[in-house]
Amino acid sequence: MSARPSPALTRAREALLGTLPPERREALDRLIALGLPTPRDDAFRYSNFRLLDRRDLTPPPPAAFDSAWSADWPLGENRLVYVDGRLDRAASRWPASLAVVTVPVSTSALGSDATDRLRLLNGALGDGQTQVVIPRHTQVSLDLVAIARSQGAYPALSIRVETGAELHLSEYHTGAEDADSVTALSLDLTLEAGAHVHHTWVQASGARAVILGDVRATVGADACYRHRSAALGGQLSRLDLAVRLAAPGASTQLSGLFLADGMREHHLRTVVQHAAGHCTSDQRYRGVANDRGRGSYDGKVIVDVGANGTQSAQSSKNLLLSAEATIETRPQLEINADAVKCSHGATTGSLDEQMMFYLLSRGLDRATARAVLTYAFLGDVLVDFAPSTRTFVESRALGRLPAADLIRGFVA
Amino acid sequence: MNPIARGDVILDIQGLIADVAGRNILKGLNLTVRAGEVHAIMGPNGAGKSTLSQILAGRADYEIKGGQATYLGEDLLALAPEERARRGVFLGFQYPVEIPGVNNVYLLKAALNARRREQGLEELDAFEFMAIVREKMKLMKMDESFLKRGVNEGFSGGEKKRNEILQMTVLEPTLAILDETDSGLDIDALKVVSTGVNSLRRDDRAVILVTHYQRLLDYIVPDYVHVLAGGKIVRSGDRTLALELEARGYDWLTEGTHAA
Repeated sequence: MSARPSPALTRAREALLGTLPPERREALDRLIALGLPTPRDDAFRYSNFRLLDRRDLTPPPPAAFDSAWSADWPLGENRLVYVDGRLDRAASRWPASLAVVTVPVSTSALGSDATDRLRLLNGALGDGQTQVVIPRHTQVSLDLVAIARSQGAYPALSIRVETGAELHLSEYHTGAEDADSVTALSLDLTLEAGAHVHHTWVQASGARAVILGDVRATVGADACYRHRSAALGGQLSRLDLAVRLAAPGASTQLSGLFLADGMREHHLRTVVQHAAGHCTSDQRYRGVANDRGRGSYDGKVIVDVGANGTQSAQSSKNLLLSAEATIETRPQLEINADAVKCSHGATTGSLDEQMMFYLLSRGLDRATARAVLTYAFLGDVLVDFAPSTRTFVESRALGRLPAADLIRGFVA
Repeated sequence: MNPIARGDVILDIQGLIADVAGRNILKGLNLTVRAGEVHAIMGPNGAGKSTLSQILAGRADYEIKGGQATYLGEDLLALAPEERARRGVFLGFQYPVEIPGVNNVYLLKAALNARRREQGLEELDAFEFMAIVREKMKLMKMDESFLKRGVNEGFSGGEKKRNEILQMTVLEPTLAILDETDSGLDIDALKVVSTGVNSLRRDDRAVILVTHYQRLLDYIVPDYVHVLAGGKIVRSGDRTLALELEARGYDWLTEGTHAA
């Protein structure tokens, strides 16, 4: 692999040399040698990380959580709060039944492919991995709050959801409007038999933030992993979801939306592996790009040999609101079994002219009609969010649309 | 603006020539509609009936090549579609558009308030608005569940047409243009729709009914009947013309229009 030398990584190494423990320095050297992902890596063909060249990737000095930062969020009782990637135990709360420990990030199993290289960031510059166990047959709601003030933030988590347990995990990313932060969050999820995880990812960061999320979930027999994402803020955000349906009856539902206005970029990559028979996967994504915004959906479903009885559906619908906006899609199916039912589709277009004319002919002005139709376009994924999160996502999403105040009532 | 009195000219079209995708559809159409009148425009398929309706409502993909259309003395063709709607021009669509996710009743409320602002009236609050809508829905024999649904979303053909007429009765347009509102309706729905249209008839308003069949005119009795063929009005008369058309078809009128 020919790596492009990353000036930001080299600078980070110089700044931190002497303070990094040997295994973290080793991880950093490996990353420098391999390089950050570039569009030449197939999995990153739509994302360009060149803007990281000018960023300071070192973590800033520690700071305590300020509750004003999350004043308008729909947070629950239990939460893991990360400030600049560091778990703030004083600001966090969880039930006594939960085991929460921090361990060093292990990088020994990481290879050289692009997502693994990004995970070296957590190993090299992060502050350890939080390990959580949700005990069998319990129900837990947990918020994951990630505040990035500036520079680098590298939270890492591993959550095991034991047999029959249910976890509602609501992940929120935010920071000041002008924060030039870079967040790379890694999350490993293990769902034992019959476990259910409802994971919501809301990214409402400031206009200069970079937010990268890498989720790897292994789903056991009759277990179900749901992921709802809303990419609203930031300068560049990217979500990598790798879901392995590992035993019969496992299922996953992935859905979400992105709004790429201004110069914003939102990228989404999913890899769903049907490793056992009789598993179900369903993906539904809606993307909107305006101004010079960019977005992508790169979704792959792999059906392994012998995974008969697989059911899989993939839908990506995208809306371009300006001539300079772009959205790229690549739904892929790799089927190595018989007796499977798989569908996939991706569309990208502009607003429906007939719908526009209908609204205008009823007296709506053009800006309102555009906003109404854009919002309606997102409607069938917005319903997937739990009510409290949905309200939050809707208000943030509306803030990104023109004529927001005029259209609040319109959504059916 | 002075109040409109019976007999005032609401719409005046002179020599209208229009193209669609480079093809000439309207070829010098004249039509004058006065307050208090109902005009039926009939004609064979492809004569330009829907084109005329859409042009009057402001659809952009038609090219006006000549002539003019004035609405209450104003150049209608210079107005954006939303401005026409706010000034009281209403198009009942032949194929009402489904807009999933956009609430039917909110659209109606926004439409009515846009019209009221234009008229210098105060916007209605939710309570006043719902009172009006409930009354009109009763007239249109529509179920309350329509209020919660998306615009025309999953509506049957007949439900879509009733929804159009519901919008019209709520908006109370000065000029209603109903494009083949009767197509696809069974006799019961046709009666309901006709009741809605007849409820709108008033000395200060006018209605243009575009239709292919005489049947509608049994329920909404027009003051004038025009035959649109080959892009022009080729004959005008009273409602007996519609009966004659039903008996004889259009061929006897369209022969020779190409030479004209």
